[in-house]
Amino acid sequence: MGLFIWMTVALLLTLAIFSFLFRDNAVYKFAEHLFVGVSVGYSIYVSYTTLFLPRVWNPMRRALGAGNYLLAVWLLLGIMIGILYFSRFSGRHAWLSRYPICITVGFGTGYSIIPSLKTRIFLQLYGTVVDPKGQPLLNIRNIGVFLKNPSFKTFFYDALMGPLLVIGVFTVIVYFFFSLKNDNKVVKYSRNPALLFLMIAFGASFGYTFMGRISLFVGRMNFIFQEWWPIFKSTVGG
Amino acid sequence: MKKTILLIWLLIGAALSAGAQETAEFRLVDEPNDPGKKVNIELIPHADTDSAAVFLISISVDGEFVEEKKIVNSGTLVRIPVITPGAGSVVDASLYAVTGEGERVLLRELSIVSRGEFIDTEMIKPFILALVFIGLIILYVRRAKRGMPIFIRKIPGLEAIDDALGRATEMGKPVFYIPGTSTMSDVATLASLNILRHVSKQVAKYETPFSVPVRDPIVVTVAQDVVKEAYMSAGRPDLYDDGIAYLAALGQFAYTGAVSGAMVREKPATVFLLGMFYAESLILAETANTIGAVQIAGTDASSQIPFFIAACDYTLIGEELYAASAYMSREPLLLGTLKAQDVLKGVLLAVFIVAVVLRMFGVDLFMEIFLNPSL
Repeated sequence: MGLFIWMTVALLLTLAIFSFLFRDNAVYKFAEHLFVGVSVGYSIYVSYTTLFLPRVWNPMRRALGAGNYLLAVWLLLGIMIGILYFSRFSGRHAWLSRYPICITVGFGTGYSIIPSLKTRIFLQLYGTVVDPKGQPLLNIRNIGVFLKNPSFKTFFYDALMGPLLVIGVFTVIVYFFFSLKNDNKVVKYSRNPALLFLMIAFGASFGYTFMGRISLFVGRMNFIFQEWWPIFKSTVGG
Repeated sequence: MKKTILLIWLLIGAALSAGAQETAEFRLVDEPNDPGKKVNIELIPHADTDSAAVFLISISVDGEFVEEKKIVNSGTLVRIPVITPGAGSVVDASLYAVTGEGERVLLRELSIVSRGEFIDTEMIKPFILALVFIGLIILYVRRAKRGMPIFIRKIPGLEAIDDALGRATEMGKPVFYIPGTSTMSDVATLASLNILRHVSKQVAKYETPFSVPVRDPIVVTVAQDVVKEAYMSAGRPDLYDDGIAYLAALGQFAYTGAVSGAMVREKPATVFLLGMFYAESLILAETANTIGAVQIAGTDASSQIPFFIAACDYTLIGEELYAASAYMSREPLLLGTLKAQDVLKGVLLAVFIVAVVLRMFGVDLFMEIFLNPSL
């Protein structure tokens, strides 16, 4: 019976959220506020159990227990900096909250510079020169193979895909030059192909993600008709 | 006697190794360029499934049993990462073949001590590139400060910002600014907050109602400061209220629900969706569309741009979001950075073209030197 009640609550909340598709209404407002409240409460609990306890409180207790006062002071320093966030509640001392923000932003951006350059520039460009098997993407030999033995596979996959990728990367990078005028020859002639490449990529991405959303919807329908409905029948039907 | 025992052990070891060699290649490899927290177990079973259809690998770290992995003989390389507490940890792995009757036959036992590296060699080239980039930024920022003109091409989405704000003012309706749903360490969030400064200044000048619902608590505090500063620089500190930038919700879809609800109730005339977005992008854009708001969107999340293009009036694609703040503020610091970025892109593009052409003729060296992060 308990399972049936909770599943019915889940069903009603699902329908309450879907009711927004019709128009804003009191049921949706209730579900929205419940969702917001629960998400905040849940986040506080998750932060407490996965961050505060294992990263601050337990190491502090262990450090003090083992007489490792240097580590305890480090942890305490972190806690003190974190507590500065609460200075926002005081009009006079609100400026203190900028210190933890500076540390968070500075560390976050600084730490990601080198890995970003590696993954977003080096590996991407390297992967555009050669494929995972080490073969060049701009491969004249593949075009020769196609000319000798014309077929869809030798043309589209082997001869065309690599050069298309190389040309696409080149034109799209040129599209994102901001300090070149639009009448610059390279910019002018690469603009339309770049937009074409971008739109094809976005179209494919749209279709792919849209299907993902449909599967989420199907998941909710499966919940209603394949999980809740049998339990409803067995509970109400006796 | 001792010699005899040693000889017997050597023979047993050789027999076990030979057994393993016959059915599979088995090795433990320390993860390169890490602080010693990872070891990889590599197994290459031979395609012959008669000798062993299934393998079992028993793993222990520092003498404590961790797990037993079952691997079906598919003839392809299987790599199992083992996480260790740190450098100097001893990882032991025993490989068993499982016979048709379910009997285990020990094939090989291996042991390795995890090593930590002080320098990640794969980061050296990116580090050098970062230094070059920093040098370029300093150079062009100095030039911009000295008054050297830096051209930035027209970005249509940004041209529309002032019109969209004017529309909201004329209609007497609020403006919504959504700075993405990511954290402060995201570049898109930083870029968005730079644009927020400009939008807030305009909104303050026009006395338009303004709302900035935020998902991340740290972003809220920064957004409040940005808006406050903008209102003050516009000469309207009296219009500023801490409630302009507020925490709508922490959860992704709770935030989406809260903002969608607020949009439907307050009916903003203009909605900005600038920053990092995930699956909520289309829900927010569609809601803004249904209430008839002008939407100016921009993100560097390539999987979300298509939704913005489909549902919004103007979309800043990828890097246009980063260029936006320089475009609008014309500050030397931002203009110089943008120019340095373009120069670096030009250099990389030239390197890329040379590498592609040389690789086409079978020359690897240039590509390996300039594009492969590994030394």
